[in-house]
Amino acid sequence: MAITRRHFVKHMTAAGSMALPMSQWIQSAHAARESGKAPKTRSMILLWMSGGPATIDIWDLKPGSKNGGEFKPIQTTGSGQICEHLPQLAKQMKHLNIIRSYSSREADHARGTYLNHTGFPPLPTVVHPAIGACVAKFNSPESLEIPGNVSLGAGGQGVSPGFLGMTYAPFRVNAGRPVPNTITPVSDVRHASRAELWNAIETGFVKQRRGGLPEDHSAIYGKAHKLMGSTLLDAFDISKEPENMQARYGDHQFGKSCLLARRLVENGVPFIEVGLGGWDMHNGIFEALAGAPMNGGPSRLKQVDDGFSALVEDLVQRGLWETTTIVWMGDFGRTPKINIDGGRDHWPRCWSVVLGGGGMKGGEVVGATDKDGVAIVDEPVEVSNLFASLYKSVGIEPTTELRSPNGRPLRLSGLFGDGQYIKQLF
Amino acid sequence: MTIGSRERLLSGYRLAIAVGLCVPALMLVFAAGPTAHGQSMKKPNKGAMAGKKGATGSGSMSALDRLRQLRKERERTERRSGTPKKTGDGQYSWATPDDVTYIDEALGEEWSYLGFPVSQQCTDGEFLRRASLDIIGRIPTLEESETFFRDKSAKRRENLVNRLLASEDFGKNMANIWTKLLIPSGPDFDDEETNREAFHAWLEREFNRNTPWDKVAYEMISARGEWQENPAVNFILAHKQGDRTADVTSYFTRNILSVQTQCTECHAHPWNEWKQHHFHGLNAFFIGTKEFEKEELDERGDTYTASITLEEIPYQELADGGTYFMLRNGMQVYTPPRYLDGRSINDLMLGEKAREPGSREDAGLTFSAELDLLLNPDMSVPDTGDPIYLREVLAKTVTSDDDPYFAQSMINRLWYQFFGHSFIKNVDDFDNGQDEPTMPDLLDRLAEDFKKNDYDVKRAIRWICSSDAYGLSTKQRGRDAEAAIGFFTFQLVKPMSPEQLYDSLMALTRYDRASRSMDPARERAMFINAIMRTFTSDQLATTTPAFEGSISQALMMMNSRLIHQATRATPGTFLHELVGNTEKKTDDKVEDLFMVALCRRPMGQERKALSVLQRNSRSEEEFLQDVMWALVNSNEFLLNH
Repeated sequence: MAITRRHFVKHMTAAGSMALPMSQWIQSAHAARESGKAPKTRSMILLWMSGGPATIDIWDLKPGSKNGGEFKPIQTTGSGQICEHLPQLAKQMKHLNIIRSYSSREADHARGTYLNHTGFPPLPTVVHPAIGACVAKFNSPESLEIPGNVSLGAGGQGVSPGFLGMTYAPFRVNAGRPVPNTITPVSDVRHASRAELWNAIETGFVKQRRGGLPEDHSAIYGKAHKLMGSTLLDAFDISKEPENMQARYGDHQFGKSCLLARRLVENGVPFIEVGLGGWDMHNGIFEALAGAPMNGGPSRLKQVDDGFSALVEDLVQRGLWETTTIVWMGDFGRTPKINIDGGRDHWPRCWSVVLGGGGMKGGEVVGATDKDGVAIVDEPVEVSNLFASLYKSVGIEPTTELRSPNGRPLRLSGLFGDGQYIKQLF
Repeated sequence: MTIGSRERLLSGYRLAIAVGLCVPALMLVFAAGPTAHGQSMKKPNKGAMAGKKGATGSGSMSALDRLRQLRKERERTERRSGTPKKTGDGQYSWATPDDVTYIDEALGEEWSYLGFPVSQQCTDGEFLRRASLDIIGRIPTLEESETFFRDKSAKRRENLVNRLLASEDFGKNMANIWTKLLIPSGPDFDDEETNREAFHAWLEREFNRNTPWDKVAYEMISARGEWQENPAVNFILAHKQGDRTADVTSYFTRNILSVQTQCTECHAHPWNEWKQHHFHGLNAFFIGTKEFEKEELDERGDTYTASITLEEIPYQELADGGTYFMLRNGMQVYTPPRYLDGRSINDLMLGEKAREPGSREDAGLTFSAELDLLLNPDMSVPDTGDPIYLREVLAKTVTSDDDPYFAQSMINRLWYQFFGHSFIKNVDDFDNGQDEPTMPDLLDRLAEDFKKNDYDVKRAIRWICSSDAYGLSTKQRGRDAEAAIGFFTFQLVKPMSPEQLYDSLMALTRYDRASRSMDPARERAMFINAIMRTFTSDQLATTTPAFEGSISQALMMMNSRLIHQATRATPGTFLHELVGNTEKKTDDKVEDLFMVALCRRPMGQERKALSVLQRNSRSEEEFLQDVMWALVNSNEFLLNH
């Protein structure tokens, strides 16, 4: 509730320039209070491990197997063991679930990225909307002044709003840096002055009744202007956080992005993707996963341990866990067999995904791979099952159909998805 | 006649009528429809060709329809007598060498039948801007505007179109459009596997030379050779992934024939009679095609693909003359190369004419009969003694005059380029069993003329631009004008592509001439990339255009360093030239900026806003810079109208 009120106050301060939407917002807020439900955006944070993480070394260790690798498993507060290099996360595992029987069938980076962002394999004739665009479409509060789909340091390959259009395109920001292009290159006074001429041209053209496009253009500019003057821009400024909080998330880009993601969730943004690259470890994998800090910052696992664990802990403490879904995954898993260079190659056949929050149970382990990690032996989870679960957790019916431009109905839960979510998690 | 399509359109009005936009005449037309509707719906699968045999001369014509017919005939005789067309800027006429008045007649007939208010002719300035964006992909420069407005003759619009078609920028614009269609960038593409730049340059050259479209398409399908020496090979290289050629097949049918076959790779088409074997029969034409990569080392010692050569093994030398695929029931079956209408290599080489889409030998076959066909394929080929290259056979078939789709597809695409909407709902989806062309007779006749004139693209563009419909204003008349989309009663406002926006920004600012960058092409690519990140690629925009700008794009246009620099008076820029001109009055300089950006002078409220802005400005330079900023950020600049 406290969060909701803060959200509300922020809107109050920005009210001057937006009389109508403001009054609507107050009305809906009143209505919600009367019915006893606070209007709370159901949000999703995707922690995207670009390059394909070796989940066999992280979430599904195989001690005693020839494929087992160098790391030891440790106990967690949940029912599964995880890698010894994730001690902080081990304490949060009662909130998170590990799917150890995920299978995704695409072993190419671009195709795997596309599949695990959209739920569909790439097709030549249609560009499917990524899950961020869909969640933004269905869950953005009307009053939201910032885009509902925010991407923090995540790559663009294969991730687009597809046929949903640019309204739902990811708004790309780097944590710790100002939001691009929100500061006018001339003084405010001069900007206001030139904007008057702009307004005369813009509205003159709209009045000429030339269809919807001129109006759409004006609407986008209206939103952009609103964003430029919005106090919500403060949400992007993580230096406003107490120092100990910044330290808790870690002094690296991934941690900063996780902290920013939490601030955005508090402000009603329904989808945030946080990217962490460098997982394509074809050689020297154990050093790369957990070795000493290099110029790319601390090791991958250290960064994940800091940012991911802080995010879970923080969201739980702030009472946002029930309305926020977190999912950790990447392009695909990596081969159980360690190659000649001491690395692992691409492996979509059986790997792990971690998710939690959004009303899901916690501490569960779904499915299992065999003793060498080469095949699924229990509870196989398809791409469509994962997507159905993710959509369900943010309150979107997984069987919802979108219609592609060529008239083909597409279910959110994927190509062959019948909306079968993972029962064990709900 | 197109009764079926009209009914389809009119049925869309039910809602409009219900909410009180009721037009009595419409309801009458609507009430008279059901029989005709029923007739055309019985054979939905004939798609593009169905219109020819549609219901004509319906016996039960209402009094209102008869009145309309009279009026229509009167209008037609008026038109034949060669009445010059009128605009707000006076009269103009077209004297194209070809008689395409039937375009105006056919559309005029539809318009009076539908009873929809038709927009007026646009102003000459609007025509100038629109035709420039559509033909050369950018707004006109000040010099180009002045040339146009100096021409006071009735033929000024025709002269303009001829000038634009003769411009080198025509080929560039067409190559931009077609490269994006044929080799889009996206998750499917490994940029190392194709030479997009060489392909673009080749297309640009071919369009500027006005190489007949059938020859261009023939090259793209049949070409063999190295990617730089024979850039046509890059189309197939882009889509071929090892032995997998399914994407080549679906891209070529979709873009060259406007037929979507991709669903039939894995299952029968849900709405028409196309089966998996149609797809795989077509796909088998690529079985002999092989590519050879030449790798080299870069400075860092990493290998990269220096060149790829596309070759083909003659059919007679192939160990296996067909391809396997899996039916939905898991059964593995086999097919030799067969064209979409079922013709075998033998049929094609012996010159058998295209089969009517509805009369395919396998249409309506039972499963077992279909299986029989698949299990006992006709594998014979004529013994000519020469090597048979499958892609040459395919290319010849596709581009032959009797192909039902080839010419129509290009005409329909050109129409889409100039109107923002084609004769069919999705420009690349003929014969899908659901959508029929709005005006099949007109499309058919244009396609026939296109064939007769040796697939002359520039000529077809002249026909389109000379039509009444192309010159209509984008100002809509009547509340529900957009319901008549596909009948072209007004011009649609179209969004600019990133390339159009970049080239238009440069035509206005001339920043590219000021830039001290060593590599203008690279700078252009970087800029377009920046725009692309905030725009969507329009390769999938196949229906009505939508505004695809985002908040990020608006922020970039308003506040980015890029735009800020481009709108400053650095030496070499248009603004620098204006500021340095001491002869010209500031008002005239503002008019020049408006003229290039919007092809018109400032009016009403704008003049007031301009004088306020001028008063607030510290210098003429700052004032003109602000005007430039306001212009490039406006909807009127960013849209093609």
